[in-house]
Amino acid sequence: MSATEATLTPAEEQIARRIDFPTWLPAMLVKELRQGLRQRGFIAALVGFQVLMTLFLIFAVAGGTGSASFDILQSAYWVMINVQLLIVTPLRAVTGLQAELDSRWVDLMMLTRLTAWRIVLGKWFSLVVQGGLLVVAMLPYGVARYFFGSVDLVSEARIIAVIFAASAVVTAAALWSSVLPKLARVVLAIGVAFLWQFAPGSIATLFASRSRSGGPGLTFAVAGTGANWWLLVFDALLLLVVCLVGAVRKLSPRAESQTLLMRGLPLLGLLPLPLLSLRDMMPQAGLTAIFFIIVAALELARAEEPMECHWRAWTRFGRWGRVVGRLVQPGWASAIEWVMVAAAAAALGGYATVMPWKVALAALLGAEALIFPALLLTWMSSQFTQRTAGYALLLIGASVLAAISATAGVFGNLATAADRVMMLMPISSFWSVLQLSVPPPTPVLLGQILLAGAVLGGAWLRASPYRRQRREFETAPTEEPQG
Amino acid sequence: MSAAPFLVVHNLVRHFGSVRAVDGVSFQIAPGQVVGLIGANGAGKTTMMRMLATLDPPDGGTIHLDGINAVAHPAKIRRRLGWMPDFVGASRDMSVGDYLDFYARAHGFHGRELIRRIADVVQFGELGPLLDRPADALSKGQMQRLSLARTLLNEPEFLILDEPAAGLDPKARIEFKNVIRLLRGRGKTMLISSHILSELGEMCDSLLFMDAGRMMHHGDTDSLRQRDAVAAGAFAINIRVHGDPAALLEWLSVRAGWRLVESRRDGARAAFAGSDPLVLAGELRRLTADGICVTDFHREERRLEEAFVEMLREPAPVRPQRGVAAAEDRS
Repeated sequence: MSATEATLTPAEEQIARRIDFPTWLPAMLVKELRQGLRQRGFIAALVGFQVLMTLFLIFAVAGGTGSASFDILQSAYWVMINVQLLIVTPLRAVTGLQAELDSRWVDLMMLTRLTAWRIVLGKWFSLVVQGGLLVVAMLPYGVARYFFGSVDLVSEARIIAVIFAASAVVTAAALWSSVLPKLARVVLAIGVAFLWQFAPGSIATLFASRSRSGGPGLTFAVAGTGANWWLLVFDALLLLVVCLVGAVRKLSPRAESQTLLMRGLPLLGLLPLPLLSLRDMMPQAGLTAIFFIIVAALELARAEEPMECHWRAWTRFGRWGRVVGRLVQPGWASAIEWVMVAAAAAALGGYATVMPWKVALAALLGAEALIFPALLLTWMSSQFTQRTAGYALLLIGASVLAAISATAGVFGNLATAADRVMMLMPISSFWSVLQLSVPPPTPVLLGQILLAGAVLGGAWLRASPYRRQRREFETAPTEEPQG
Repeated sequence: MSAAPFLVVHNLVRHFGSVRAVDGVSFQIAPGQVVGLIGANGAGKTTMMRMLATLDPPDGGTIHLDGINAVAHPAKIRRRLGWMPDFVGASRDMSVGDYLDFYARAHGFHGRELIRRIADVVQFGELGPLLDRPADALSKGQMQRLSLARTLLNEPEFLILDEPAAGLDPKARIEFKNVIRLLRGRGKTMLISSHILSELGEMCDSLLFMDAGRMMHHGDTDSLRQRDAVAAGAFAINIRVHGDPAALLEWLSVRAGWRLVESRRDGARAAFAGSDPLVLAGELRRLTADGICVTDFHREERRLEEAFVEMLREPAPVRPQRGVAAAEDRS
């Protein structure tokens, strides 16, 4: 017994005896591990997979190396790891924060020193740790396969690491989805399930291209493309952080803005471009653009109004602080400025490409496409709460209309009229310019520029009360906290 | 009030769509004061308490706790307040011990300090025998004790207790009142909401009445009980005598300052013009000196429930116009 323990009172001793995790471990991690390890779902998954794998192993041993039952063991091993990491673990995260929000427990947590970041990170990390525990429990079967057949341990360890990393990202996305409305969750789940079919390491690819040695198709899928590993890790990290920021935002007090992080992350995707070969550069730029469009859509749909403390956090850095600060204030009004600046930067960047006119036009029409639904939303009632859904509906709806009009142009005799409409209207004009290899005719170009100018100018005008508010924040007397 | 106010709420507004849940509420609480918050269901009590606890941002107005703007600096405020809502927030697979351990860690305690804090609140809430019980399977009274223990873990200066006595049996209510007294003895500033007015009257220094999001009254309980009489510059007095009350009735009819309100079998109810208690004491001495055998002489007080119901009948206080309120906020 240490000296500290020796001085404990009987009441304190009673408490000390009960504490099963070191007291320096973070609260959320301890709580989640305590609850998670006792959860029936976790126990059932652990025991169920063990029972199944034991049965497969017995059959494989009875059948011998090269038998059909040995092949089944090989498949089962990878399927189990995939199911545990890419289905069970994210599924446990899908209700992760929603349960806490519904039970209002999160309110109590927020009144401690736990920040929204600590809560989300603790939740996510404990889920990943529990996923890791499930995989560790599977390792004996991996070793058994090594003894019974020819298995490339290094390659398999790498594959497990990739699946584990993918699991961490998908779990973060699932955690984010847990704070979204139910409809958004369902749409996101369907989207992820759909995309997963094309992802390396999915069950579909495993079954489709199982290697002779029993390894998963992932070996071919990733190695075959000559994928840039560090770039994959970089992009995965960006995606991971965006998902976590999305979840954190829901829990943060209004005064604690996560806007800088949310709007800065997609732009970080451009950082590796100078280091990439020409072949890798285009996919990375495309990925960053998709990333930017998704975040821009989320930001432009936000009704949140900035507070004085948000603006004052930047004014203390002087003129440059104000320049950056106006781009990262919460809410759609500042998001409009952010999108405009990003579009201008993209247009300038276009001069480094072979078709600068196309990049510049795409940037202008892209900004118009993104801002147009936000502009329409400004006329919606302040009681309209489904702003993100409304924004997505307008953006996707107009895009679908563009696709229909393009189809009509191809199959009907309306090619010219449909093309004109498609090339001029907001949103569809952006899609149409992506198809062009030569600049559009001058009247069309002028029409596009005029319409884009009207949309951007209209949005700028609608955002003017927020710019006025910023000036009021500047002139308001400073209120420094005491104590 | 000599001390600077600990909590200052100014023109607080919170609306949900077109409903103004809290509508221009302003009040102050001095350090160490225990204030009761009273209102019918939907009056805006919980919405206001959530704003005070920095959980919901107000749509207008300001909250300052010990000079710190609670809306702009929620993290600074949260370290100093304890919020006891009408739920415990315990999840499945969590024992009472785990629950307290989690919150003690969440407040940043570790090592010996963590153990000491938990032991303290376990002792305060008499939770020792319950440590291994699932937290979501406790009785209502036990849950309230656990909830209060959690609230006290970080030794907060300001406590917000939302319906702390709801669902408690009479014995538990008495215990709870004792707990409030103990906390008052420790110098805690408290805001307690409840439906049970008599209970709040006993525990609180002052009472805040809310209706339809507006504050109807803020004052001490005595002033509220005697509000009508004091407003008219008079005391309502009940007098009981031994034997025939005729002598008392005659005394009341001739004595200056007195007016008979109602004669009773064993005495009378009378109004005395004046609000000085010393003068009233002199009148009692005179009454007995004049040979009337007084067995009971007391100032009539309204029950808080009556005061509350009467207040609801009164026209709502005039609310400052929006532009004026906004200008006040900016200033």
